[in-house]
Amino acid sequence: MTINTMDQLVAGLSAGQQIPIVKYGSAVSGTPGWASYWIINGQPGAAATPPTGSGAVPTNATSGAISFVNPSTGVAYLAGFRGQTGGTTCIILYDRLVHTSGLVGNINTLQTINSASVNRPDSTGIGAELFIEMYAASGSGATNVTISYTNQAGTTGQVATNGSQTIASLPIGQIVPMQLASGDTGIRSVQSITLSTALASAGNFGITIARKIAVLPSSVQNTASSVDPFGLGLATIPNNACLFPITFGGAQALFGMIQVAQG
Amino acid sequence: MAITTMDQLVSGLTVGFRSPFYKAQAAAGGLASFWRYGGIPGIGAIPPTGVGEAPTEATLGALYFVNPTGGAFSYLASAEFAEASQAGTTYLYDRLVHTSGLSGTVTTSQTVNSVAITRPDSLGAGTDLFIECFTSVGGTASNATIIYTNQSGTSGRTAVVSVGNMSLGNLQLVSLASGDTGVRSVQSVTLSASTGVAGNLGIVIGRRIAILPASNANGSGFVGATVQDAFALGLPQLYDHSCLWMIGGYGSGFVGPITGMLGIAQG
Repeated sequence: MTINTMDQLVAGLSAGQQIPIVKYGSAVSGTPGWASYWIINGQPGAAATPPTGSGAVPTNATSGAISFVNPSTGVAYLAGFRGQTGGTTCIILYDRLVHTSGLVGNINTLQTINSASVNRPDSTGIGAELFIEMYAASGSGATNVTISYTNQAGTTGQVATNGSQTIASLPIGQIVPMQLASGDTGIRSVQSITLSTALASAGNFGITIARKIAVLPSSVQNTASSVDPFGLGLATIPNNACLFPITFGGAQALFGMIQVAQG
Repeated sequence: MAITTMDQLVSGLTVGFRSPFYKAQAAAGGLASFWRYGGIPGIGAIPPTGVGEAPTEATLGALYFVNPTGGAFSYLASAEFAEASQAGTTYLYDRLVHTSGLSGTVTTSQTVNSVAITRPDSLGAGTDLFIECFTSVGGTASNATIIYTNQSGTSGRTAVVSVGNMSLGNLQLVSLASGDTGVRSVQSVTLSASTGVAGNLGIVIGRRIAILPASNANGSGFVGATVQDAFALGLPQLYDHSCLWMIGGYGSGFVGPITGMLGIAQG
C-alpha cells in the first residue's frame, strides 16, 4: 500500500518512526569540504570500515546505519527532517548502496574493485552518486583519479573523474563526489580506480555509491531547521535502506532527527 | 488528468520520482550555465550547429526526467538545493532549443533559423533567450544583434546583447524587443565587431521553472541551502520530454559546487 491521501499521510506519520541522529564531529579538508559521518561516533555509533575488494551492500542492519526499521506492510517515506550543526553548512541524507575499502594512495597503477552492484530500490543505479571515502589518511600530495564504472543503462567502461574536486592530503572522513561521464545519470557498480600520482602514504580508502534522499539546510550556526513532508517531496525510503548523513561545506557536530511515515 | 486536490498531490508525490543533481563548478561571472560542467548528470553535449535542436530528457546533459504514463501530468513539487562559495540564486529551466557554431570573429550576419519550439506548444510565450558560450571568444567588446520571431509569430524582431569576453559556461540573458514576452525562434546573429577569437557561441531558448535562492551571508567556503515545497514552487507543470537544466546567478564569484534534489509529482 502507498500513501495516496492527506488522511493517509497523517495516519502514516502517527504510525511511523522518529529516529534521532547525533554525531560528534567529522573530518574535512578543502573548501568546501564534503564530510561523511559514517565512521564518526554518536547515535548511531561509529561504523566499521567496509570490506575490501568488492565491498558490500550495506543495509539498515549494518553497523553505522541510522536505525531505520522496515515497515511491516506498505511503504516508508521520509516525512520530516530536522537538525542543526555547529557550522554553516547543510546536511544531506543518503541511502548507502555499495561501499568498499582497501584502496591505497601510494600507487598509480590500476586497482581492481569489481564492486557489488546496487540493489535498492532496484539494480539499475538510476540517480545514484559515486564518491571516494577515506578510512585512513592518504598522506601528502595531490592526485587525480579515474574510475571505470557501469552506468545506469548497464554500459560498462564508463569513466568518472574527480574533475575540479581536489584530491590531496585527505583525512579520515573526507568523502569526495565524482563526476560521471557525459550524459550519465547514475551508477550501477565500479570496476577499477587509477590514481594519476602516487601519494606519500597508502592510507585506506574506498568507493561509495549512494542515493540522495534529502537535503536539510543548516545555514545558521547551531540553529536547527526543519522540513516537512512536502518540502521533502515525500521521498520513498526503500526497505533495508542504509541511511547516513554527509555534510557539505564543513564538518561539525550534528544533532537531528528524521521522521518516517509508513503507509 | 491533472493534480487538482491535496489528496492527488500526496498521491502524485508518492508515484512520482526524484531527480538528484550535483555539479562541481561553473563559470565565474554573471549568469553561469551548468550544461557543460561535470557532475550528475554528466557533462552536456555541445548542441548541433546551424538550426540546432530541440533537446529532450534524452539529450546528454539533461537532468533525470521520466515522462508520466496514462495521460498523467508532471509537476515540480519539491526542490532541495545547496550551494557553496558564493551567495546567489540558481534557476531551473526547461531547455527548449539550443544551437552552437556561432563565431566571435564574424561580423556579417550568421544564419541560425533555429528549430521550432515543441514544449508545451510551438508559440514560445514566456520563454527566455540566451547566448551561451561553449568555447571562449575574445575580449574585445562586441554587441550581437539577434533577429528573432516573437511569441506572436512576428518575425524580424531585434534584440542586442554584449558578447565580448564570454568564456565557457557564460550566459547572456537577452532583453527582448519592446512588448515581447517570448521567443519562438532565432533567425540570425550579427556582431558589431570581432571579439578577436572565434570561440563557439550558441543561442538557447528556455522556459524558467523555478528560482532557488541560496543565501550565504558568510561568504566563500560556506554553504547556502534552501528547501521549497509544492506551494512555494507554485506546482509548475513539467511538460513531457522536458530537458531540465540549471543556471546560476552569482555575481562575479566562483560558482559551485551545487547539489540537491528535485521532487516530481505525477498525476
